[in-house]
Amino acid sequence: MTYEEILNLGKLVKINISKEESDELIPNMDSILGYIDQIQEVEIDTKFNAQNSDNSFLFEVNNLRDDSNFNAGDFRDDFMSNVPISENNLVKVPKVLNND
Amino acid sequence: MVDINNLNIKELHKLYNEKKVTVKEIVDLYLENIKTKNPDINAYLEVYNDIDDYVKIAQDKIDKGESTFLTGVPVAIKDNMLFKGHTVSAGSKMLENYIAPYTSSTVQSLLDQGVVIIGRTNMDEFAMGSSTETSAYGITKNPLDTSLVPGGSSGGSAAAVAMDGALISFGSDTGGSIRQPAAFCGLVGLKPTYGTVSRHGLIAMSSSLDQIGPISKNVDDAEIAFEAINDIDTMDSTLTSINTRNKFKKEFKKRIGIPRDFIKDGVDENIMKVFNKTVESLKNNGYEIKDISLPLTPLSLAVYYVLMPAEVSSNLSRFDGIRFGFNPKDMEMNLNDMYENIRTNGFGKEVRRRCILGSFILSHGYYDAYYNKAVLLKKAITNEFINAFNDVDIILLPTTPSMPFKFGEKSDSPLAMYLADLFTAPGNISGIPGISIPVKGEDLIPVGIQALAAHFNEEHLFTIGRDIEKIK
Repeated sequence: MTYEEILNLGKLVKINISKEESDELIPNMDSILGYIDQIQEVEIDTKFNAQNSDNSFLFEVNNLRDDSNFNAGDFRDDFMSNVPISENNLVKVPKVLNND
Repeated sequence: MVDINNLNIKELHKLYNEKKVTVKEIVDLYLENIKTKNPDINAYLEVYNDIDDYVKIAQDKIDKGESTFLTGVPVAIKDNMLFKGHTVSAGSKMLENYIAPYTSSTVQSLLDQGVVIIGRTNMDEFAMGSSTETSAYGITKNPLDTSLVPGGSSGGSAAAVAMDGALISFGSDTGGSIRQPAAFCGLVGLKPTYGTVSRHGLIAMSSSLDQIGPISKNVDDAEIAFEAINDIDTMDSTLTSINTRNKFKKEFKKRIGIPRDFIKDGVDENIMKVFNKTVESLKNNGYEIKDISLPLTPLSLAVYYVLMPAEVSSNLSRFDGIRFGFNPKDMEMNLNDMYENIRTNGFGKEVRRRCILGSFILSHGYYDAYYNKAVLLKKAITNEFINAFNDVDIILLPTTPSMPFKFGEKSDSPLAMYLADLFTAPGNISGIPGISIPVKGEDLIPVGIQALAAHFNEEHLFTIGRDIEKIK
């Protein structure tokens, strides 16, 4: 992995990686990926389909609940209680577009 | 005077009901202990200032004859479980000022029983680590030997119980974060079946693997604690119904499987000695011992280091400092620079590393080879365990490959740190429950022996756990 690749990955997750940190990170990543690569060495039947077994629910559980009825603003105070920068009870952010 | 060092939940319950001691007297004993020991151990990040309110609630329940086993029990919670009105920081600078706007389902279940929550405990940042060294709030020391790490990521929760700062505590286990620190601190740690304890209000690390569980001094206490939190909850869509759980309950036939191939290399000599002694004792106690083969299971840790960082990079994208969390409030920056500034400075090194790793694993061109392959392997490993539990009731192996290490010993090599979870990750990858039980060897620090059981058969773990506890 190169410094440029690390910088690009950093952009994707919005984290700046300094040259100094990257010097440490590159060998770390190489050793971790080297370890992970052992999963490439095993053959898995790609037709493997757990859904056919009696235990299928173990693989995919997603019990949706009914929608609850709430009024707009019911949670406003709770929500706003942790907002770092706000104005008139609205979340404030720096400008998104440059004028120039 | 009650000896809190040798106290258990049922005894305390009896003392309360017979009016031999009040909740305030008990809680004060623990608080005194925390005052003396916590400045050095750093198990607690915060002792809550509203303890008195909950002491009163517990005492009222007892006086009215409405108490349950957990009423008046001093409890510590990991710093990633929301408790309304209290700071919860996940061991990160990112959430240094975050006040929980609601209460997690687990904490609510505990409050319903009348526990007294003493405070929140230190942890690796966002639960990423095996030593509690990545916390933004300093290291936690192992109360059994303060030159050693307490394990992690629930290191503070384990240390809190080991130093008698709480009778029981709760942690979260994504790759071993309850069982490994419990082993390092000479305690019992339970990782329940995935889908039995609500994750609502638990700060997520890896949603498909995270599970809350108790840390305690003995198996009975772990069982009582587990029974209190394994309720159904519509706020967590991954919870399995009680009916389904019951359908999967099996008869316990005292058959133990040992995956000898998996544990033959790289395990500390002292650990193997105690492990073999444990197997021998169980055999003498009427257990049938079988060697079993689990060819894919050793890949669990590699699968874990694909799925977990992928979920980490997605789950942690919510931390942008705009709606909550760390924000230096520099309005001169544009929005993108503000995000980068907040996330670069709010997250520590290990968290940054895992976000980068996850971003790589999920990127175009690598997704199939890593993520999709790991998902397939997760299913295959789960099936491997389901099949193995047709022939045995318990799979026994050490909790960790090595004994507690010194501070900084594994900080330079993330991979060496990751390998601490080699024997615990399979439980998370397959979703099965696991428990670590301390067994005394020649060292001062006991060895953690891990028992795994089939999905939803925690009772088997408690049964064998009590038999292991009897081994001298």
